[in-house]
Amino acid sequence: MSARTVSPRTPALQVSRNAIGLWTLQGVISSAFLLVVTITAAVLAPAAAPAPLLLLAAVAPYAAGVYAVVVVAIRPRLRYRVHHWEVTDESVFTLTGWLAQTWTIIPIARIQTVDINRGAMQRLFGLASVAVLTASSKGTVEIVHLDAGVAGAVAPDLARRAAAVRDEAT
Amino acid sequence: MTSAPRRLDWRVLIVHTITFRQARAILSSVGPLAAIVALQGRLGSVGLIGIVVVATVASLAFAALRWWRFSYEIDDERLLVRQGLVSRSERAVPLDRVRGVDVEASPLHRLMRITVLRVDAAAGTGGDDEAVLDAVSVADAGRLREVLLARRRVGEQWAPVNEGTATDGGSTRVPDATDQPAAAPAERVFARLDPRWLLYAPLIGSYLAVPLAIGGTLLRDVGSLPIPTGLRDLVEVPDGAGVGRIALNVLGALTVVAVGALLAGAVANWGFVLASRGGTLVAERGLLTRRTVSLEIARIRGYVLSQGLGLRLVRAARLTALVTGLGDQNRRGQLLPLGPLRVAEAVAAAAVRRFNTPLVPHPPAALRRRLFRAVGPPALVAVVLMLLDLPVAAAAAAAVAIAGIALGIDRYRALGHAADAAALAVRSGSLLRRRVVLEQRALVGWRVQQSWFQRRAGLTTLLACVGAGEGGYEVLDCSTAQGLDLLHAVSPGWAAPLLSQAPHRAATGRSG
Repeated sequence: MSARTVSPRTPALQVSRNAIGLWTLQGVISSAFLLVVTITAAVLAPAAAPAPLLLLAAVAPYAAGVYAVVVVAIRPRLRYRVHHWEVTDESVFTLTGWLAQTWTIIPIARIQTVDINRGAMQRLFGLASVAVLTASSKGTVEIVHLDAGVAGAVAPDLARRAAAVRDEAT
Repeated sequence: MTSAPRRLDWRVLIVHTITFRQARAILSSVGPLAAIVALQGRLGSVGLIGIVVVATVASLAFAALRWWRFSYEIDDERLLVRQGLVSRSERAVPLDRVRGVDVEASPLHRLMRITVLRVDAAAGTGGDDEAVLDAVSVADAGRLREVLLARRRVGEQWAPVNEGTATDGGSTRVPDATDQPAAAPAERVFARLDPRWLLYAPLIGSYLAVPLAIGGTLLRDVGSLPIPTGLRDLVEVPDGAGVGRIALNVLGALTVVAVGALLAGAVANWGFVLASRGGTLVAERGLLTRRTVSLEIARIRGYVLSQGLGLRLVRAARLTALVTGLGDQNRRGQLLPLGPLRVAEAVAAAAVRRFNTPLVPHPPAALRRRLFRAVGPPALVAVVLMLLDLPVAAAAAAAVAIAGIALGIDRYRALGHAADAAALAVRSGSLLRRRVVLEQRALVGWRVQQSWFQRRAGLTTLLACVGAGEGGYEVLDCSTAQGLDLLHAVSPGWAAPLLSQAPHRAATGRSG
C-alpha cells in the first residue's frame, strides 16, 4: 500500500448533514419514477411481444428496486463521507469523489467571484452551495450543500479576502 | 488632455462601395429581383448598366452614411467608439484593459493604403470585447497601436509617443496622416519565415487527414475533371489494374492536398516576421491579406510548442504564446506558424522565456496505463468480432491493437514535467505532441485527479489551471509523490494545505 502513504491531505470540514436528507429525497424521487415506469411496463407488456423484450420487462422492476436501495439507503451517506472542504489562510480546497477522487485548490488571491446558489430543494433543507470562480474556466470550485448560514458566512469572507489580496498577474 | 472625435479614413468609402460592405443586406433582397428582370431580357444593355450604376451609388451612399456617423477618440482613460445611424451606440474600451491590437489589410485595403484595426480587450468591458476601426490610414494605425498599447505601460504618466503628437497643438492624441512619420521604435526581430519552411505545411495533420477522404472520392470521377488528356490517361488505368488505379488515385489526391496545403500555408504565412517593439510583441504575415498582431509582452505567461506526427517526423513545430485575457488564442497568439523545432525553441527562449530544466519522466506504471488504454479497446473489439465470426474485421481490429503498442509507448515517452524557479513545463501526446511552458505566477489553481486504477498504480493526474489558453494543462500520470513534489516546488505557499501531513487515513476514512 505504498501508494497510500503519499496522498494529498483530506480537507478538514464536511458538508451539512442535511445534505444526506436532500440526496435521499432526490434518490426517492428518481427511484419512485423509475419503479412506476418499469412496473407499469411489466404489467402492461403484451403477451405477444418477443421473448427478449418480455424478459427485459420482467427483470426491469427488480433492477429498479436495487437502484432504489442504492440511491436511497447507500449513496447519500457515501456522498456525505466523500465531500470535504476547507478554507485556509491562503486557499480554498475541496475533495470530492469516491472511486475517482478530485482535489481542487485555489489561492484566495486569484479568486474572481464567489457565488452562493440556493436551489428550491436546497431551501427545503436549509442548504446552499458556494461556487468560487477564477480567470480559468477549469479553475473553479463548488462546495455543495453547506448549511445556509455557513455558506452565508464563508462566501462574503472569501470575497472580502480576495479583494484585499488580489493581484493582477493573471 | 482631451481629444477630438475623429473620423475614419475616407478611402474606406471606396473599399466599402466596391465590396458592398454596408449595402449587402439590401443587395440580397433586391439583387435576385434585378437578376430575374435582366434574365427575362426586358432590359437592354442600357438597363443593365443602369442597375449597376444604381447599385453602386446605393452602396456608396450606405458606406458614406456609416462613415459619417462613425467616430472614435482616445482620451486618458479609454478608446471611445460611436456609431449607428439612428440608434447610436457608444463603446468605451478602458485602455488598461487593452490586451492586443490587430491590424489587418485585405488586398483592396492595401491598395488604398488603409488598414482595419481591431482592439482586443480583456473581458469585463461588456458585450463582445472587440472595437473595430475599419479603416484608418496605415500611418494612423501604427500610431494608434503605439498609443493603445503604450498607455498601459506608462500608466498615469502618459507621454507623447513621438514628435508628431507633441507638435499637434496638444489637441489630438493621434496625429494626422499628413504628419511626419514616427521615428521607428527600437525593434528586435525574433523570427522571419524562411520560405523553405512552407514545405512543412503539407505535413500538418489537419490538412492531410480530412481532405484525403474527400480527394479519394473526388478522383473517382477523374474523367470529369478538366485535366489534360495525357495526364488523364496516366490516371485512368484500365479496369483490370484495380490496385494500380487506387494507388494512382491516392497519389493524385495526396499531391492535390499537398499542393493545396502548401498554397494555403504560403497565403497565410508569407513574409511572417515576429519582432518586439517597445513592450509589445508584433507578428506580421500574409501574402494577400496582410495581418499584424500585437501582443502585450507583460501579459504573456508562457508558450505551447506543438508538433503533429507529421511535423515530428521532420523535426518541425509551431509555437503559440499563452496570453492572459486574450481571445482566440490559437490564431492570435501564434509566435511561429511553422518552422524547424530548433528555431521554434530558440524563438520561445528569446521572446517568452528560457526553460532549460530537463523534464522528469513518469514512472513505469504510466507506461502500463498508456499501453492498456491504447491496446485494450481495439483488442477487446477484435475478440468480440472473432466470436461473431467476422475474421476480416477482427484482423483489422487486431492490427489497430498492435499499432496501439507503438502508440502507447510513444505516448509514454512524451510524458514529462519539470519546474524551475519561475515556470513549469509539461509534455504529453503522440499524434499531437505538446510541450507547454507556464509561468508559475499565472496559476489560478491546481486540480489533483486520481481514479481508482490510478490510485492502485500510485499515479496521479495534475491539472494546472491558468487564465490563458485552454484554461488548464495536464501533468498526465505522474507518480503521486512526483505530483506532490511538483505542487510543493511550484506553489509552496497556497498549495501547502494539500501537502501538509495532517493526521488522516484513507481519503474516505474521516468518519464521524
